[in-house]
Amino acid sequence: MSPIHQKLRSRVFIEIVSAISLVVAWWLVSLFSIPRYIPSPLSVFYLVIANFANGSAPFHIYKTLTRVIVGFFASLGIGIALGVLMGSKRVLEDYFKMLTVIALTIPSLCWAIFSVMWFGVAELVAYIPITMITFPIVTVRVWEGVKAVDKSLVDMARTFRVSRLHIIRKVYIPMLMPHILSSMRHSFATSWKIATIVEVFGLSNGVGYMLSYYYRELYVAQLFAWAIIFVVIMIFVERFAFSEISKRAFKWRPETRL
Amino acid sequence: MSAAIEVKELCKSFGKLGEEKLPVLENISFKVERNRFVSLLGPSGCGKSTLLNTICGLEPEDKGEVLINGQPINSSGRNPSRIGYVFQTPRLLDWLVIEKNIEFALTGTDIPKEKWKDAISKYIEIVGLRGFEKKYPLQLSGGMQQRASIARALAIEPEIILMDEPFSHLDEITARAMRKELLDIWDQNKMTVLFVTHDMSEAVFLSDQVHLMTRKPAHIFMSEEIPVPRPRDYNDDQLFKIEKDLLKRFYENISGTVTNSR
Repeated sequence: MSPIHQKLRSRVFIEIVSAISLVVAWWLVSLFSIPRYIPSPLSVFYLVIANFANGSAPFHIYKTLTRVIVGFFASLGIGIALGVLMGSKRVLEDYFKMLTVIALTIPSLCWAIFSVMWFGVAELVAYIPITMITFPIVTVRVWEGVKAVDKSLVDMARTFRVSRLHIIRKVYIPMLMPHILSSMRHSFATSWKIATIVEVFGLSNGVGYMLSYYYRELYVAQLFAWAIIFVVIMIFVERFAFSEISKRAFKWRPETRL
Repeated sequence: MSAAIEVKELCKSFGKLGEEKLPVLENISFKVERNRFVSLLGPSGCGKSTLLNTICGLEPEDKGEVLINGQPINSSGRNPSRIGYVFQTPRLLDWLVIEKNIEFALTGTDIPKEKWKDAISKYIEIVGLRGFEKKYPLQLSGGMQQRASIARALAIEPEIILMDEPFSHLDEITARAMRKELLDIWDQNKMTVLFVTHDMSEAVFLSDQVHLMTRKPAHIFMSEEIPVPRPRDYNDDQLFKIEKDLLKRFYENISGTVTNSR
């Protein structure tokens, strides 16, 4: 095994140790408390299994993830388009600058409440706040990215008479990739937080709904179980989807070659 | 037959609308005959790069005219003659492997697609990068990156190559080797080279003719033929003598303009 692989392996090992230490700490605390308030890791683990076995976990995860993904892609599309426009046209930059700042400062809760009031229980209730809250995040990063584009490479392409379409595809987009990716991560993490908030008081399914349901029942062990299901799924998405995308997008960078 | 490059009374200044304009190029005129190797030599920041950018159509001329093979090159940059450009830094696209970088330049030409593969491997071979086709630029050394950028300029099979201090970022040993290679390539593939530099010995070693430029606003104050037969040797006394003589006249003129303008 090469030293690089060994190093990678030991880093993964440390991460696993850190996750286990959290569970151990939880277990120790649970030993000295009333199970009704802090249940033991094992009892929660059984509930997680049971939730998967009776089909409720897959159903509600599916509901939440769909909302997150639809809202996320909508915000990505709007955010990139607006960011590129703002970065390339002075007038549009000045016009949308203020609007973006306003959009960024409106509390997420406001969007969630408005959207429940306006759309009732339609799926739009989740899409609208997710999109409205996350697209300014993408816009701002892409806008900064366009302004930081290395003009010498664009000039190079122009001296070789490369077409505009090719310049966009091979020069601009790769240069914007770091900005797009970091905004994707950020907006995805925000998306699912908003999805659960909306589910808590506007919808009748999804992980957020289950959390509020068991809160009303004061069933702490199930609250733990659903929180854990959610965290594990999000770590999975972050770990595998995003790091795979960034590995592909940045394989030209020597430091990411392992 | 018209000259490969003809610059007629070219003037150019920079500055935003409404502000006082800073003249950069003042009444520049010269001709480069086909298949010659001509250098433009001037102090750093005198507007040499601006001149090259205007010649290749990247920037519009304020006054005067640039003719490529007798045809005007206008600001839209349309000219049937292909022009290759080697920049001071390689300006490769770091996210594309070397062969894709060259292909990127080929997309701007009317060379049919089926010939790209041969062109790419031919010029990668010529600049000595065989085996590195599938490497990313950041996996290569600075000298190799610059070779790749020369391969890119050659692959579009240009009639004219513009070079903007292409070796100034390399160490002298690498630069010497690459100058020799450049002369070989130029000799084998008949083309016109316009080479910009601030290094007198480089200009004298490489060129058939050297134009000396002043500080900003730049104009050409002297043009000198280098009548030394090729292949040339770095230690040739004749080259050395020309270099010394030109340097002396260059400094006389440059210091003159400084006192005049202050």
